Amino acid sequence: MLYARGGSLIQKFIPDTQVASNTKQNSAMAVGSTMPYFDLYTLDQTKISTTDLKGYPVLITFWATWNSDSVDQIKILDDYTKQYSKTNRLLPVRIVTINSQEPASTAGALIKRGGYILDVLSDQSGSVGTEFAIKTLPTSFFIDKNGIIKNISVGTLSEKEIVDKLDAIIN
Amino acid sequence: MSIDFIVNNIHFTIELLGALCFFVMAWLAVDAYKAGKHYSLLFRVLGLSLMALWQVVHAFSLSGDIVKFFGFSGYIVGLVFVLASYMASPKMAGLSAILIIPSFAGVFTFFEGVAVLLLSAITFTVYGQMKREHNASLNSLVLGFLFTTIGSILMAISGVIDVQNVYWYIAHLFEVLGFMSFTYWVWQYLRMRIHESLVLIFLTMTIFIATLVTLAFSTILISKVEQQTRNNLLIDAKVFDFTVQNLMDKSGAESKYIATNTLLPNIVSSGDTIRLQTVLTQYLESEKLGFLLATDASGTVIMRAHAVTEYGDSIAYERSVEEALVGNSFTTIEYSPREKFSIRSASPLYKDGKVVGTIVAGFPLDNVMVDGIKNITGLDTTLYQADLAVASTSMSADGRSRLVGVPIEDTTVKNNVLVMGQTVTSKVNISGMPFLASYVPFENTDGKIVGMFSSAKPQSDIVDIANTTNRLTLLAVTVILIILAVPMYLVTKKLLGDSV
Repeated sequence: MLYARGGSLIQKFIPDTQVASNTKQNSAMAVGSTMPYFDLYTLDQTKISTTDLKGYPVLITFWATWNSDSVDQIKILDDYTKQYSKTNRLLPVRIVTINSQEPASTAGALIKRGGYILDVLSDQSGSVGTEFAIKTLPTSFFIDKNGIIKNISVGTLSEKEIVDKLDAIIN
Repeated sequence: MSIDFIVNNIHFTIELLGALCFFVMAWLAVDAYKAGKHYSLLFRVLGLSLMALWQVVHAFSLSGDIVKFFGFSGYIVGLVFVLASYMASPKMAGLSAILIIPSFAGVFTFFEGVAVLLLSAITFTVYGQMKREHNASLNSLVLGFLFTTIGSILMAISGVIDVQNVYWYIAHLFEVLGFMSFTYWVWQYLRMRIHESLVLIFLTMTIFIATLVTLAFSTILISKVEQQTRNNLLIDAKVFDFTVQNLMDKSGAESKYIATNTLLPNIVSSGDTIRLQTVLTQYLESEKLGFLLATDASGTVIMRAHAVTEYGDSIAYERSVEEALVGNSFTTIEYSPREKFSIRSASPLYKDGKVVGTIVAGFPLDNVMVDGIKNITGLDTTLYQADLAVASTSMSADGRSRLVGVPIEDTTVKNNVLVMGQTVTSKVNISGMPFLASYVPFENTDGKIVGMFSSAKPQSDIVDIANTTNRLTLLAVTVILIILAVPMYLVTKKLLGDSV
């Protein structure tokens, strides 16, 4: 009887099974495939490549300033990141956002206005987005420390959903 | 001081006094077991202890599903043990009373229904014992369980309807009556056994005094916290107002500056959109504007540097462009279909003494802007165009989208802020959750109130501070009083011992 009532509470602590969405967008970019190589510049002209991300669990989110869902995703990721920075804890993952097909200055202006502290790479030509077969913004890739894509999510993710998916790639 | 805080503290006091009652009753059951050695009394001790523990959990409103689940489970198990202890008691054979189980107990949630059933059964059992033994001293015990049963029923009804409605208050009133009956029953025994129960009396008085001190302290502290919160909210709203004024000044200066570019009038009048895009994009980036566009002499957009594929629409009707087309630079806050609610500054482009077009520069009043404000102040901010939220740092229940597109419900705020232009700080409901919020109106250049800023803090944050304060203060005061009470206890014991 206790389980019947408590079952719904117990289920809260059992992670839901996540199915990668939008896997049809590129058969080469499905869950289980290796992250494509890229090197891009941050807004302050620092070069970041996939080599720099090796050995870390990584979350890559593609976004654009003209897309309101993307901007909301940036805010959610920023809030998550700030929880760690406020308490001087290291983030358990590398979070990298890639601004898609816009001038770096446009992305930079938005980042500065919003006071966001995320790492932003500029993909003005859109070539990296093509490699990742991006069709919709925002799209997030959860990649384990071996560079294997474990989850692809299209659309805005809440902080709880991000934490759940990050737990899967960290553990 | 907010009603939520007062209610929280009343709840804290009642539940903690209930914990004290059950704890003392458990202690008396221990004494009874020592005297009678009947196993049923052990069940009673355990049951009352579990009930006391739940009261403590409930008093501190400890968060977390696991804590509440196990706490209430413990309460149910405690009731079962207490019922078992009375049913197993030696003189329980041959009950003649009739048990009436509330028929509507079945409509409550499972746990609450079980609690009501068990309390009803205990009331009936103790009543039966009182009749059987002709023991009038059990009268207050019966009343105590009866009032607690009624209180549980009302609390379950309250939970079905909504939290903190009239049933909630009446339920707590019955709980108080129940605990007072238990206290009277306990006192009947204690006053006959003061010498033997000295430790219990001192301990009880210590916890009672500690509770009062905790209440007093948290009341004083929280009223200060609330006042400070109100002040901070107001400051945040004014920071927003200050930021908007600065942006209006900046956009005004920028549109005038860009309009002085000697190439632009020729480019605009010749319709050379490629060169126009290059020039405007350079200004957009170098001057760090939110948006930048150019119109022709009729007010039709010929280039948006921030959205190059969107042009051809007429914005001649906009206040800023209207003024610029007749030769006046004008800055205001208004709505435009493409840039939405924004700070907009328009300046005329002259060629041969004639206005050949306009430059419009500005900043959107959007989610990114309020995020920037929150980054500085740490408080949730919402921007309203009239009474409709158009930008907010607060997220909806799903955690994916912002709380925008929601009109403000509070008519007092709407009237005082949007109509009368006052700054207001008050408790409001946002998507069903209580917040403490400040609202500051803002005007366009024509002096018309076009919207308001609000800064808000969830009321639960203040209640959480109160609960944390209560926990820590109670612990500290209890420890201090116990240390102080030890010498008084020893002296009193000696005096009572000398008088025997």
